[in-house]
Amino acid sequence: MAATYCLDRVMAALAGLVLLSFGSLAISKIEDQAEQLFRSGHTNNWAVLVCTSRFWFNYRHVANTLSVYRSVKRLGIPDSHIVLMLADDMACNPRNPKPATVFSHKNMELNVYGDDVEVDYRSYEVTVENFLRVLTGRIPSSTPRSKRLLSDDRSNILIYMTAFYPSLYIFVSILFRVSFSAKKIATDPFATSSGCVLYLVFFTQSVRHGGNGFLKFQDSEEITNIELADAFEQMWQKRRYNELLFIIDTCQGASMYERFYSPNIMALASSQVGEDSLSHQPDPAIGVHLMDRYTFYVLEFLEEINPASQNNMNDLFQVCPKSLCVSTPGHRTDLFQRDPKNVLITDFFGSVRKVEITTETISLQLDSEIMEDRYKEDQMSEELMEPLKYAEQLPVAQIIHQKPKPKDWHPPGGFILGLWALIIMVFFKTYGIKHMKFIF
Amino acid sequence: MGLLSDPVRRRALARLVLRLNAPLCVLSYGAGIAWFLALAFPPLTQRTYMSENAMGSTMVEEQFAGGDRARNFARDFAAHRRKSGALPVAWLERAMQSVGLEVYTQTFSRKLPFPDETHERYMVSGTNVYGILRAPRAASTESLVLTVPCGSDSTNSQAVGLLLALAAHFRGQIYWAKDIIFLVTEHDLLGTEAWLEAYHDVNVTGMQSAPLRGRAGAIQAAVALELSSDVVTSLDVAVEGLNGQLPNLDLLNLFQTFCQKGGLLCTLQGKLQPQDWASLDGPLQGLQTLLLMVLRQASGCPHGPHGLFLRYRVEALTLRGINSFRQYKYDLVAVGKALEGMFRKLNHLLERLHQSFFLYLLTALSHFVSIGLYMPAAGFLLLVLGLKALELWMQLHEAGVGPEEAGGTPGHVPPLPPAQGVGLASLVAPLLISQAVGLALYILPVLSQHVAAQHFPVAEAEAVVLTLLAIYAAGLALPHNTHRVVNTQAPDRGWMALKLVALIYLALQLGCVALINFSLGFLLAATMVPAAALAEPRGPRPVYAVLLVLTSPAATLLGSLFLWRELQEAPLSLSEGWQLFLAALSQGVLDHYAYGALLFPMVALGFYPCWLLFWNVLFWK
Repeated sequence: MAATYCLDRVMAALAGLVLLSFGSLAISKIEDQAEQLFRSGHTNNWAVLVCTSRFWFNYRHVANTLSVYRSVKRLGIPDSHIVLMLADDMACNPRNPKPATVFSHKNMELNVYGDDVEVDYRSYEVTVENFLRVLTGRIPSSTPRSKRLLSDDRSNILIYMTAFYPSLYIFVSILFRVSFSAKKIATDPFATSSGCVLYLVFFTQSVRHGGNGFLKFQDSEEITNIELADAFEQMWQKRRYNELLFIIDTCQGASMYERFYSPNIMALASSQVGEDSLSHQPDPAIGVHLMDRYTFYVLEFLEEINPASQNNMNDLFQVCPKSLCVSTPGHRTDLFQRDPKNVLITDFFGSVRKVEITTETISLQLDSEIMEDRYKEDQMSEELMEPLKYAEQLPVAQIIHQKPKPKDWHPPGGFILGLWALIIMVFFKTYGIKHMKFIF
Repeated sequence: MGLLSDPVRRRALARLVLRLNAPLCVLSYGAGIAWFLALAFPPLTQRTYMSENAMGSTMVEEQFAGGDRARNFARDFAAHRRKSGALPVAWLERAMQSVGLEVYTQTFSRKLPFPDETHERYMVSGTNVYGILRAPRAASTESLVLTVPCGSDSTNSQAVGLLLALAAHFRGQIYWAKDIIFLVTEHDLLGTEAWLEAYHDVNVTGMQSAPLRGRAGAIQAAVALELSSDVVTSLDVAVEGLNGQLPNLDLLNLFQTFCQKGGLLCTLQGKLQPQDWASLDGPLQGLQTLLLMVLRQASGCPHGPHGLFLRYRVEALTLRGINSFRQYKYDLVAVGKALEGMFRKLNHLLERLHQSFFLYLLTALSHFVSIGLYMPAAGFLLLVLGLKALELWMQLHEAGVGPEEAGGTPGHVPPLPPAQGVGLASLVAPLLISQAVGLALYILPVLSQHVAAQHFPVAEAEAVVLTLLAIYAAGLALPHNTHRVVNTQAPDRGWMALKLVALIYLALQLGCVALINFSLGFLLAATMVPAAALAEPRGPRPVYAVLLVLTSPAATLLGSLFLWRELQEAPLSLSEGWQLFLAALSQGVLDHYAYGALLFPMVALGFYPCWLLFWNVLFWK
C-alpha cells in the first residue's frame, strides 16, 4: 500500500531541470510553476496497447489500436516504451482491397498502419499468458527489450484494450452438491455410514453478447476481470507503476474494471454492463467497419491535444456522450489519488518532459515540506514514512498457526429420525395403512 | 417401485391405455396435423436472422457494370451453340481464357439404366468447362463455385453470359481470399454430378469421367444460376436438394439481404413474399409456401444443380431468373450486383457456414420454422402407432384384463404360453413374402425392361414404369397366397402379432425418415398412420381396403402431384395427372440411378413391404 516517493530523485530532478537564476520577482508565481512541474509525480510514460481479436470482420479493432498507437506516439511516447499487441494482421489480409494499409476513417486520409509501426506481439503471441507476463514483468530472460514493460515506480502506464465478443455461448456450470449421510445404526454391524453425493451440473445459456466480466483473447481464451485486477495489484506490489490509466473498448466494458482494487488506477470503458459497444465508420469499399464509436470519439479528442495542452481527464470523460456513442461510457476514479481535474491528458497519452525555462531564482522547499504540501490531507502520510516492505503474498504463518475450524452445528440424528417418524405417522393417520401398496 | 414393474400400477395403466385408446389416437393424430398447420403462424414461424459474424451486414460495394458485356457473351454463346448443336467447348475455353481464368475441361459419359424420355437422353457424353480465378494473395485452400447448367432443352445462354462477365469483373479485384471456380456443365445435372465426383475423387453413381486437371481448395459455397432472358422480373431461389438436404440457412439469409439491398423481387417456390404477418393473410400464404416446400423436399430429387453440391456438404442454392408479364424488369446488372455482393460476403467467411440452421422449413424467404418446433408434429403422428402397438401388446398378453375379469374367464389363461410361440412363427412367412415383393419392385423393373419391351409394344422407359406398377399391384394379391402357409391355430392372435410387428416396423421407419427428411416422414406418416391404425380383419373390410389403397405410397405420390399443382395454381386434369404420375415414377427411378436419390429404394424396400403387411392383416383368415 505504501507509495514510494524516492526523495533523492526529486532532488536530482529539481537540480537538473530547474534553471536557477538571480532575481526573485513574483516568486510565488514561479514557485507555483515549480509545484506544477512536480504535480504528476511521474518521470516516464509507458503504453500497452492490446487488440485481442482476430478475423477480417474485426478490422476495426486493429484500426482502433493502431490509431491509439499513432496518437500516443505523436504525443511523445517512443516505440521503446510502447508494447503493441495485435492479434491479427489486417494490412496483409488477402481480403483487404487496399493492401498494406489500415484505415481508421472513411475519408482514407490517414493510413494508421503507416511505415513505422512496431508490433511487439502479433497474431498467436497475443495470449492471456503473454499479456499478464508483460504486465507483471514475469518474462523469460531471453525476451528482447522491445517485448518488455520495463516500467518502474515513477512510470505512468496507459493500458488500452479492445476486443470483440463473438456470439459464443458461455456455459455457466453451477455445481450443486447435495449430500446426505445416514447415521450408523448400532444394531446392524454391516451398515456403514454411507454418503451419497449427487452432482447436478446445470448448463445455462447466457445472453448472446456474453462477456460480463471477461474479455476474449483470440478465439480461444479469455481473461476475467478478477485476473486483471490481481495482475494490477501485483504490478503495484512490484512497484511497476506510479499511476495507471486503463481504457477498454468492448461490449460490457465496465465489467472489466469493477473488480480493481489497487491504488492509483483510473479506468474508462466504452459501455456499461449489459450494453454493447457499437461500431462506426462503415466502409463498403473495404467491406467492414473501420472503427468503434468510443475509440473514434476519443481519438477525435486526442487529435486536438498537443504536448502543451492543459486538458484534463474530466474532458476525456466527456468525449463520447450517449448521443454519439449509443452505449454509455463509464469511468472509475475512486482508486485514483489525485482529482481527475488536476490530471493532464498528457500525463498518460504523452511523454512530456518537464522543462520550464525561467530566469528567476526560486528557493526550493525542503523535500519533506514538498511532500507535506502535496499530501497534507492524505491520511496515509505517516504510513508513507514507514520503511517499505513487500506484502505477504502467502500468509504462511497464519496458515500454520490457524485453529481447526469449529464444526458446524448439526441436529442430532435422533431428532431427525423422530421428525421423519412423525411425518410418516401423520401421513398414515391421514391416508390409512391400506393405501401402502399404491405408494411402493 | 417402478411405474411398469409394479403389477398394480401396471394394470391401472394398461386399463387406461386400453379403454382410452381410440380417443387418444384420434386426439394425437389431430394434434399432429394441427401442429403442422400451425407451423405457418407467427409464434412457431420466426424471422430469419444472420448468425454468421463474417457475413453480418451487406456492407460491400457492388461495382459490377458489365451488363453489355454479359449480353454480348450470351449472344455469342447462343450463336455458337446453335451452330454446333452442343456445348461450344472451344468457344467457352477461349472466352474464359480471354477474361483471364485458368481453364480446364472435363469429359464424361454415362449410360442411363433406361432412356430418359423427359430429357430425351440415354447414352450421354459431354464436356464440362470450368475456369479458376486464383485468389491473388491467398493459398488455394478454399474456393467458391458459380455454376451454370446447360441442358439440352434449356438454353441458359444469359446465365453463361453473366457468368463470363462476372468472371471478368472478379478478375479485376484483388480482395479474393478464396479461389472462385466458374463452372459450365453440359447435360445439366449429369454434368454437375460428374464434375463433383471428379472434384472429390469419388464415384458413387457409376459415372465415367476424366479426372480433373485443375483444382482449387475445399469448396465452401456454391451458387447455381439459371437465366434465359436478358431481363428478369424476379429471382426464384431453390434450396431443396438431393434427399431433402438443405443448405445452411445463412446462405439463404445472405441471398435475401442482397435481394433487399438491390431492391430485387425475390420469390420462394414461385410465391411472392407476404408482407403482413400480423393478420391472417401472411400466415396463410406462408402455409402454401410451406406445403410446397414440404412436397418438394419430400420428393428427394435435386431441384437444381445446387442439390448435388449438398451431398458433399457444400452449401449451395440455385437462383432462377423468371421473366413473367410483370411491368418492372431488372437487367443483368442488377442480378450481377446481387451475385457480386454475395460472393464478396462469402469471401469474408473464415469457416464453413455452420452457425445457422441446417434443418428448417421455410414459410417465406424471411420466415422459417426450426427443427425443434416442427418435430412435435411428426412425434404426435408416431404416437398413434405407439399407442396402437401398446394396445395390441397388452391384448396379446391379456395384461389389460383385471384380476376379477381374468378370474371370470379362466379359459384364456392356460393357452397363453403356447400361443406366443405360434404367433411368432406364423409371422415369418408374411414378413418374408412382403419383403421379397419389395425387393422385386426394386430390382425387376430395370432388370427386365428389355424382356418387357420385346414382348409388349412399349418403349423401355414405359416398360419400366408399367412393370413397376404391375409388381406393385401384384403385391396386393399377397394375402391369398400367405393364408395357406400360416398356421391357423390361433386366428386372432396371428393377425394381432402381425399387426404389432408391422406397427413397430412402420413407426421405426417413419421415425428415422422424419429425422433425415422431415417432409417425407411427415407426408408418409400423415397418410399411412390412420389406415395402419385401423386395419384389422374385423369390421367393414371393403372400407378399410379402400382406405388402405388410397393411402399406399403410390397413391400418396399421385395425391401429392395433384396438391402440388393445385398450390402452384395450375390444377391438373385427371389424364394429365396420370401422365405426370408415370413421368414422376420413371424420374424417381432415374434419379436413384443417376444421382443416388434414396426415395425409390426407401419406398420399394421399406414402406411398400410394410404397407403390404397391413394389407395382409386386413385380409387375414
